[in-house]
Amino acid sequence: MANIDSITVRMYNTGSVGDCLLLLFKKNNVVTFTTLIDCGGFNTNTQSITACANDIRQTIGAGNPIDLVIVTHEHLDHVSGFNQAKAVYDSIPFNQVWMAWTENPTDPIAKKLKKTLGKKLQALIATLTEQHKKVGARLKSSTNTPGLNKRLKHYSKSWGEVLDALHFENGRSLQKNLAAGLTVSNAMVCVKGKSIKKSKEEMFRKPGEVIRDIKGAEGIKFHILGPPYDEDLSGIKNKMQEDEMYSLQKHAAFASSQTFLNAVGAGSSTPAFSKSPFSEKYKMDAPEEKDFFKKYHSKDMAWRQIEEDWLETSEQLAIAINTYTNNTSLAMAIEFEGSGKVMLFPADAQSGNWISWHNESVTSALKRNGGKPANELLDKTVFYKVGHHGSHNGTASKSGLDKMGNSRQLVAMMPLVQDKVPSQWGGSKNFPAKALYTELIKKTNGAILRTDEGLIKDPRAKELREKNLSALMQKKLKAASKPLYQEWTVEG
Amino acid sequence: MECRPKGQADKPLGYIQKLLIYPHAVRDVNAYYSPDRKALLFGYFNATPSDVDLHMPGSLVFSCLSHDIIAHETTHAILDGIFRHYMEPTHPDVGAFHEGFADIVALFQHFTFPEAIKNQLAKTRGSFNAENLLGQLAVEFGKAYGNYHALRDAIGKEDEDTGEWKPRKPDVNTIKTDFEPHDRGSILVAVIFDAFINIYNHRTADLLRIATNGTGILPQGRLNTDLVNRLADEAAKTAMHVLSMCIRALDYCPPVDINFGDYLRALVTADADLVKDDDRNYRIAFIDAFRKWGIYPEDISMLSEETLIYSVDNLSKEVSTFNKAIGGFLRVYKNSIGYENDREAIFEKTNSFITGRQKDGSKTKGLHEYLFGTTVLNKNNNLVFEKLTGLVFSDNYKKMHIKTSEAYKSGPSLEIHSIRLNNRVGPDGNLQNEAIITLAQRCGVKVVHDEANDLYDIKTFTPNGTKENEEEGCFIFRGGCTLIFDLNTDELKHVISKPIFDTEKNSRRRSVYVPNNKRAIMQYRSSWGDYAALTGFVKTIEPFAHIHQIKTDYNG
Repeated sequence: MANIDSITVRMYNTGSVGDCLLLLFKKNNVVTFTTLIDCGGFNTNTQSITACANDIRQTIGAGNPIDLVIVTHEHLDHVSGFNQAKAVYDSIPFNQVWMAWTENPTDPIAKKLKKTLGKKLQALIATLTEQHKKVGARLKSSTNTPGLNKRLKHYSKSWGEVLDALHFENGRSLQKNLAAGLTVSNAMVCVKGKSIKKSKEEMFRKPGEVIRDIKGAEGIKFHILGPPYDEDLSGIKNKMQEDEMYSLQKHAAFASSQTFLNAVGAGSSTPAFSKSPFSEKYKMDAPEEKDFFKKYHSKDMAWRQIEEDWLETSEQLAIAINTYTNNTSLAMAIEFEGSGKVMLFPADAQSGNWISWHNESVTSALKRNGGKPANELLDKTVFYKVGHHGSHNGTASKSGLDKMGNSRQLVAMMPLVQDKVPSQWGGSKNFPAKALYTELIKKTNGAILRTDEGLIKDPRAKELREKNLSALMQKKLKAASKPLYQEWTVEG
Repeated sequence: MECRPKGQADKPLGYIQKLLIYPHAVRDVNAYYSPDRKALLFGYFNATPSDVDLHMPGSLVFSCLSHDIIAHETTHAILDGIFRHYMEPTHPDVGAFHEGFADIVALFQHFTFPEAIKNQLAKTRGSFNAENLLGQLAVEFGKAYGNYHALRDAIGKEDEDTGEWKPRKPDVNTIKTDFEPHDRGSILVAVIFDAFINIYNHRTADLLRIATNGTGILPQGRLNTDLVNRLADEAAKTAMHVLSMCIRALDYCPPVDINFGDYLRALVTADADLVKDDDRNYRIAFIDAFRKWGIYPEDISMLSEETLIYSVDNLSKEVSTFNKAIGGFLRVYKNSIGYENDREAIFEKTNSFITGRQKDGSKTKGLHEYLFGTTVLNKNNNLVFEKLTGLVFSDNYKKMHIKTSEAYKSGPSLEIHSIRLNNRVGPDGNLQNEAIITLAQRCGVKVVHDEANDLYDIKTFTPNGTKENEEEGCFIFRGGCTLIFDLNTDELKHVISKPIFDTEKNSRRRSVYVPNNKRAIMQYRSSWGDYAALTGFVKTIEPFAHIHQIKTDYNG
């Protein structure tokens, strides 16, 4: 049987920062297999994303199924489309769905992780919402003590942003008028339910798996690289393996926040971690307490109080939770068996996930399953979907980009609409991250397609393209930009 | 202690008697000094060690029980009390100095425990070049948080891959590459500790020779307890000397924008003032240690003790006129507070001497009026003093957008930060009797960086409370100087200046007043430009709220 000889990638513009990639696997220019990787946008409008879904339906032919739908991780900017354009997707059957093992409801580690994370999020959001209101009220009523108002204003603003970030993690859209309160986890459930193939083994993927010769996609190997299983999710080795949960939490910076989490009612239930860390005998008696708080709450002391400081930990936690979820990204390399060319899709994997691809267990599993180790895959990479929209930690250097594009011309697609970068991600000025962008431009000779710019306008990129790329390549790159998407074809 | 809330540096808050201490403030791997509140906030957390044998997992760790952390945070508070502008991101060294100095004080506190010194010296066989607890900070904290060793170490560090302890060798590149305040501060700590080790080795060389029949080579096995005791004595004495030198040097630091080179000059000047004859080569040890790390002061023609000492030409007509005018005033000041023990009274009286406003509402002649009243600091004849101090006294201040004095309605606004008295007895019985005056001046500066050509456009503006805080490239630009006046001889002894204007461009012929180029560019880079991500921490509401760096960004 003939093998796939080219893959066309369409990176849709969902109207905001988000991933929505349609892969058309072709034999002799005839599409024989289709894959959709994510469909979402951060707070995007229904209209834009529905237009993308409609185009996808039209491309594969009305009534036809998508052969493979991959949802990389549970973040709004990767799945919102399945809610917002639900009507369109209702009319498209999904033959098969892949997600990371972390989404498997029967996997014991995944189950534990989900449960604790959910609990933490809920409690954190509840506490912070309450305290945010309090600060707002204090701000209105407080007398004009020098320094205090400035401090309260700071907390009010910063916690508002943290709350937004936590709501994002919790899957709630920030835009109130959206798709009837459907959450990100609703979308995940919905996509799982749509899969015609129901086998859990085939749906939830673990690193080291190599899936080859799927019907219609002959000659193609899908290498699953992450998220790491049986190990710390951030990819950092930890010696305390006897307690997986512990190490899993540890490097997501949850464990050192255990004391804080106990205070907001989201800690573990071990008695040693009870709410107050102090023995009863050290408690103040009533008159002592009254006296202390009289002083503490006096007007003279207002500017020196520490009512809010303890909650500042929540900002770090929000970042940790975000990193954690990004690290649950299903990272994948698609290889043409014949030429060995590789297309890399790391979703939003952060450095920890990248590092884990090179772990001995993953390398040996990949080889055992008839695939190649990550090192070789990276070396043969000709197409790279830039991780995490071009953030500073979405592309690893040593275990990632450094190994790419050294022997072959590399083309990168970056799902980024710069002026839609949410403020809690650090805003537009941090995207794409300067150092990464510079390196990426060098590595690709300027062959980067961005959602908002198309072929990137950066003068350094332009110069390199003109200097190092063939006229045909330049022409092809210029033609990649379409109103609704960027399109690039990799010849096998 | 001067105490003013941040962002309102010019509105005195008045006297604050006590530093407020919250031992159980936050549930986090953290402890910090809050400059806004003049308070120390200590955190506590559940231990998450890398190995179960390093620390009990999950057990509570209280930072308020750590001698090192308490010393470190308290030093931040004291330093901020003396130099309130040392939190402004004017130079990568400024925040680093805060961190480094706080660590230095904490480290040398270890040497106040004789038993600890003896124990460690017995273990390392008298040497400070092997891993030992005396050079480490916050050992429990570090291990409980997941390190294999202490949080910080002056003489070694943990190998990132293996977790093994390795000695730290002087590296001239780190000063060019490490800009995070703790990392950069650790350079200063390493420098000072290196000087300490050199002095200690020098002081104990004879002991070792005596103990080894002149060979200096120690035999195998345990050291003689008498020798350990003597070495411990020397270590304690050396540590006390080194720490005193470090603290004494603060009086010789500029009121704004300190860098490591300034600190070296302060160390050498302060020591030379008190100890005429450096027979044990302490100053050489310090100069040498700074050199090994590639730290050199700006604006000196060569590296020697003589060039490092700040000097003033007292024979010049202008300076001697100034000396006559100000000497009398300072003696009155000294008589007034020299025997005052109450801190609040000293604070209030000093304020009256500066402003001329008395408690009962009456008005006398304050230092400000004295300064501008002298024949040198008046409108016409001031070029010498402007060059010396780097501050503007003439009507040219308007060219720099320096405000007109609010109190006196004419002439440039000039902040007199403090007057302090300094009385010390040197090893030769010599009496040091000095008054230290710190002055500062400010204007708004906007810098626009043309990255393509690497050119900086620098303009001044009048600060209005918003522009300098919000507009890109804008900041408050301060010049400042420390005047050290010898009350024994009525002479201006040292002037330590951070000029607000470019003193080079200005001369008797050309009246050019533009902001000091070098300093303005460095401040721009530190608060807006390429260093800002690491040095701009000071803009946050709690600049000291990170005694550890959470490693969320692993760049594989």
